[in-house]
Amino acid sequence: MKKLVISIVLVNLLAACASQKPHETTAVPAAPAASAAATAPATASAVAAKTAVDPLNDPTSILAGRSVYYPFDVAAVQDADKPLVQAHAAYLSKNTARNVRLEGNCDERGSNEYNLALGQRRADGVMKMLELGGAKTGQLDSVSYGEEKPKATGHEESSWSQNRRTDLNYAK
Amino acid sequence: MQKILFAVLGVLMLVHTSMARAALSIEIIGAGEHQIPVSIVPFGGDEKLGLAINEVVTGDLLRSGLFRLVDPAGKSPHEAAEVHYPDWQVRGTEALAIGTVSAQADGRIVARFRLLDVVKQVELIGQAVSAGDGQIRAVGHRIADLIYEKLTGNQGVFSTRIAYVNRQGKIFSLIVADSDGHNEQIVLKQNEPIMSPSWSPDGSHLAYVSFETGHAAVFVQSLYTHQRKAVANFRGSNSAPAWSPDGKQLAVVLTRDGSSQIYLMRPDGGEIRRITFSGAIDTEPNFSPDGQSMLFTSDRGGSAQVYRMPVAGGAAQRLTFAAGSSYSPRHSPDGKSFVFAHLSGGRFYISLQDFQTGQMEALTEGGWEKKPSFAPNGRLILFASEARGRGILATVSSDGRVKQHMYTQSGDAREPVWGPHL
Amino acid sequence: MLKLRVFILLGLCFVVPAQAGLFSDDDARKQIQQVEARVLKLEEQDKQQTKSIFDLQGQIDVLNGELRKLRGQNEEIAHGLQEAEKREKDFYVDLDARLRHFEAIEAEAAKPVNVVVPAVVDGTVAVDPDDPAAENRAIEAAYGLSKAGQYADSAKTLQAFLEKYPGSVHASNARYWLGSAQFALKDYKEALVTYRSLLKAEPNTAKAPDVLFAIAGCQYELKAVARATATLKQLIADYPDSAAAAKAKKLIAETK
Repeated sequence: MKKLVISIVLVNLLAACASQKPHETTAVPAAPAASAAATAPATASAVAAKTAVDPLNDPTSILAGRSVYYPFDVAAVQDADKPLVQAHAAYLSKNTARNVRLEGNCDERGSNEYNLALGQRRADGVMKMLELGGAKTGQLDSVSYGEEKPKATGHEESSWSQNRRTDLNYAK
Repeated sequence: MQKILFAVLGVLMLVHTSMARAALSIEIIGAGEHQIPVSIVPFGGDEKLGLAINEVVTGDLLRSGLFRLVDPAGKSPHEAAEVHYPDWQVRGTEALAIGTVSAQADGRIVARFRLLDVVKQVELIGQAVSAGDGQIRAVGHRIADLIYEKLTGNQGVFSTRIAYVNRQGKIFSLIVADSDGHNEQIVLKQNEPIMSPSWSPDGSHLAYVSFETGHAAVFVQSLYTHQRKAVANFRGSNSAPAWSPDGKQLAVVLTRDGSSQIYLMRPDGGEIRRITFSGAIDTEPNFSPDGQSMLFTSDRGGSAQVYRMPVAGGAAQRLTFAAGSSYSPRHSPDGKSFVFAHLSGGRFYISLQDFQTGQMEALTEGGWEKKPSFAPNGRLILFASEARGRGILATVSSDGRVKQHMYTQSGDAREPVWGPHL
Repeated sequence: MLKLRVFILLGLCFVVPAQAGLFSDDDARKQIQQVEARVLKLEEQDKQQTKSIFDLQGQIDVLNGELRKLRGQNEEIAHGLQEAEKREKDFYVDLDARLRHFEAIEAEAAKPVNVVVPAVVDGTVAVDPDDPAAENRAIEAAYGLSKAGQYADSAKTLQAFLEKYPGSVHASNARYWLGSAQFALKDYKEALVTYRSLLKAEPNTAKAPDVLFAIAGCQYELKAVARATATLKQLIADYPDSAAAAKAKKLIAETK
């Protein structure tokens, strides 16, 4: 419902911009434009994409992916996950009001303390990439849970591979 | 009440004792080669206390692996004059502990006990042991220490305490307990993880890592006043606290300047200075008993290995070279060796390495074994293990001969650390 | 970059209606389309740049990893080399000691001969304590003297050596040779002390069976036959497979 309203506002706005009506003063469209920009940070991309849906909430968007996965004892973002990180970086650079927390996790191999450090290195690696991709430092925070909050608890690779990851957790 | 089951496995013996009422059940695997046969007679007057003190003593001595319990078989002398030595010589026991115990009006528990040499027919110890607040177990542990010290010549550790983290679902508890796992006291209970408890050298404080602020931060808590303070709570992770032997410094691992590096600070959080500069992961610092050097885990060489460096600063030297990776180093109390968790071929082993020769020896058969720490007498090593799908506490003697499992009643026991002599 | 784009778009919203009087709808649309195309192009460029930066970051990560691995390999190689050097030294010292044993027997047989030995001042070889080569020269000199049958000088030199370099890798050999020299000088009591100190300092030395045999020899010479026999029995029990044990067995059988 809310999205629909924003869409209508945007469509009206575009119409107004392109309209020939000479009586319309700049002040009238300026007000909704400013408020639209403030309440819907996705304006710019929405205009370009001709859609008003926040891509973060679009299940078909690449942004729907919120986890980066790693091989054992590795903290560098793998090639397969780079487009995902890049997309989030682009999103954050366009939506400066959004904040994201990078949460590094590890499988249980290694000591708890070593894994805490490795998880931090993983989270910081993603954070660095997001910064390089245009996100502001203030939008980002990184933490590590090491092996303390496993998603899967088995002692085998199928569990471990799920636990070796950095989650991108957007603030609500 | 106490079921003892002997199964001979080559030269090894498997002893299983289970205590129905206990929060922990204990399983001892393997035994020392030369066990001293002893008899602990039920103490006079203990029926009034609700806890048989001889069972506490017996449990302690059994777990050390150095003693074999000989059943008193109906004989119950409480005074030296009542002891008829030939009765005991026939049973093959070498030492006999007898005594009486009573609760005073103020709640103090007083035990008068004697240790008798059955062979030489002389009294080895005759002493009164007491503890306040009805602490029958404390009295039992003290008696076990006295017997252990007299018969083995080494300092006993039964009166010391251990700390560990219990995880039950999403609830984490920091627990302090007697060395046998009994007498559990919850120091902290919360919905966020707790890691890496570390005893101050005088046993008065615990430093640990808590995630209650949303990320790993180091806290120091008094075990007497229960006052606690976040002493390191910078951005990123703050972890792996380790006390210097004089208690004046705390080594911690911070990521505030980038990667995980080791810093020194006062235990109140003041005067922070960085002491490693590797750009890699440097963690799990542990001071040598003389306070001059420090062991730590680092992946600066591509895999986690144990390194040593002077606390005053200087080059770090790699100490572990076996295939796989090595974690969680801890000095032995005499400073001559260190114990660590060695991950090789998908299994964790508790291993011991001699500083002088560089020789490494696996003390366990391998499994999910982590986070070793020495008992203050250097004879036993406490570590986290796994059995029947649960995290448990375990000990192994420093010669690898005697192993013991402790099962907490529920949840996973992890991150154990043995406390100092008080 | 991004701000610029937003600015352009927002700006358009203000500007276009204001100029609507001057331009037709078509012109305005065209301009919007052009700007939009430019924005898309810029965005594409931005995306490319970010990708390049990511690639660079990836390369840095890989290089960091490689660097750590190389460091690790370096540590392992250095450690392996150190171990090999230590082993080699042990082998050499052991072999040297064995050879010298035979050479001394030969020298004994070939006495008297004149052998040039390094300069000896007051029974000590002039050495510089900071010079590691001096340590080797000193022990060489002492061996030379023993080899030449000059046991008194050799003993003095070896004693001086042990005082100067108590922790030397040659200390065990020096003690062994000092004992042999003292034995040759018929100073059995002193020899006994020397041999025992060797076993005390290095209970696990490879020379232990030979040393025990020599101790028994001293005890025999000191007429402590029972003790000598006990020593030989200990030797046989502790090192049953050694050559010295075989000799000991023979000796016990002979003395019976």
